This record gives sequence, C-alpha cells and structure tokens, in this order.
Amino acid sequence: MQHKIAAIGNKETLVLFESLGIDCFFMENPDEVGKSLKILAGKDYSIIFLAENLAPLVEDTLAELARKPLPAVTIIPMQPKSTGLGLERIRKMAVRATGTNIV
Amino acid sequence: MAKKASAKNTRMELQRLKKQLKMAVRGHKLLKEKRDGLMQEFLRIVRTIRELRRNLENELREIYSLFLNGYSFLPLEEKENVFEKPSVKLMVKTELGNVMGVKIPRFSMEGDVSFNGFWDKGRVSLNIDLSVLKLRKIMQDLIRLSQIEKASIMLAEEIESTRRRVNALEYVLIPDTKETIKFILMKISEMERSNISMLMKVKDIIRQEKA
Repeated sequence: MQHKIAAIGNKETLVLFESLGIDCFFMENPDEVGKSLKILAGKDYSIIFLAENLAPLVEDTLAELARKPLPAVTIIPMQPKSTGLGLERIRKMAVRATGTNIV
Repeated sequence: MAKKASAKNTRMELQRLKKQLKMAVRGHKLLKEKRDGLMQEFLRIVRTIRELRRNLENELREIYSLFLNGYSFLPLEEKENVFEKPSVKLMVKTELGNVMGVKIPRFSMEGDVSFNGFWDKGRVSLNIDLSVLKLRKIMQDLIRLSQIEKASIMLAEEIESTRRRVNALEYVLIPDTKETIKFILMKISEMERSNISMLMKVKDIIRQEKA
C-alpha cells in the first residue's frame, strides 16, 4: 500500500519538508495538534513527523496512537537546537518495558 | 485463597484442577519464552535507534541552520511560496510485518527525490538549495527511524503485557491452584479416615451385640 507522509510543526523550518512533497501542517495550539493528529491517523498517512516542542502537549493522543500499527508518529527536532526529547521518550519507554535503563 | 473455601472436595474437581495446573505451567513456560524473545528483539532495535537518532539529529541541526540562513533573508512574499510547487511527492510503501505476533509496519520510500534546485533560477539563496539537498539525502534514514521507532513502541507494549501475564501465572494462578489441590487432597484423605474409623466403630458395636 502506498501512503503519504505528514509533518506537524510550529517553526519556519516546517517549510523545508514541503520541498519533498510532504504534507505540512503549521499549528501550535495543543487542542488543534491533538485533533489533527487523530484526523491524520484516520487518513492514509503512515508516517507523521511531529515537532519536538509540540510533543509534550499531546501526550494523551500519542499514547493512544502508540497502540495502533499505523501511523508511526516520529518526534524530530524542527529547530537548530535539539532538546533530546525523542531519545528521552525511547529511554522512558524502554525502562517501562524492561525495568532497567538500557539506552 | 478464596477459591479454596468454595472448592468442591471431589475427585472430579481434583482432576480438573490438576489438568488446569499442567496447562498453566505449560503456558507460563511458553509466555516466558515469548517475553525473552521479544526482549532480545527490542534491545537490538533500541541500540540501533540510539545510533541513528544521534546521527540524524546532528544532520538535521546542520540542515536547519543552513536553511534558516538563507530563508530569513527572503522577502515575505517569497517566504510563503518558496516551495509552492514541490517537484516531488514523497510516498512510502507500507507493509505490515509480524514479529512474534506483534504487527509491525515496514516502510520503503517511493518517489523520485532528485532535485534541480531553485538557486540556478535565481530565486533563492544557495543555502536553501543545499539544505533541501541534504534533507533529501537523509530522508531514507528518517523513514527508517520512523519504522524502527514504531517497532520499538509496539514491542514495548507487547513486552509489558506479556510480562504481566507471566507474572500473573507465576505468582497468582499457579500457587493458588497448587494450594487448592493440596487442600482437596487433605480433605479427601480426612474423609477416608473418618470413614474407616466409622466402619471400625460399627464393627465394634456389631461384635459387642453378638457377644
């Protein structure tokens, strides 16, 4: 199956992803981000890139989407300075699953 | 423990419980193996994620700096439609794989990502071109990161629930069943003993009456 890719962010760098024909959504309101994540998940998007700074605002939606095989929501930095949140989330998840810090 | 009080003290019940215990032990062994298998896969994936993410975040940082370097100097109307008509449409081919009963998507990039550049048409700064080029180069890895991060999330969920099931069997169901079996065995032998003593008593009485 062919699927599309989406990107959600609130910084100028989002435009960069548009150059690849990725569908970009500029938003910063937490409610809006959560809602559109759910809507996008229902459409034929299989990868959603989410800006790192928006992720903490929509934890509930992320947890909900984590249980489904599609889409894959990937948190990436969208500004020159990364907060390391993406790796931090993986670390937390690993601790929860295995009981030890392995990352 | 609650089970013990309500248990019927019959041999049939005993047989049923013994069967149940056997099955629980077998299930426990299988689930434990599944958990270990999932864990192995998970550890392997997490190690890859760490490396890949570190590299990609460095690359992205460079790309964003380059991009903003050119983008910030654009006039406002240019800013809005710099990529108005992207020359490519990136798609991913998605397949659902299966790792020990966990459904995991696999992505592969589809679509031509060759790039002619804006700069040679005199529209935008070279830095923007460079950043776009670089982003295209790492797109494959970004998609791979998506795939393995998703896999790790799905595996983590499955590991958690499998671990919970293993523990429930190990610490609740199996000990409880063993306890109940012991209780029934004791009850049955007690009943036998009382039966025998009753018979002896009856014999005694009959003998006394004959004498």
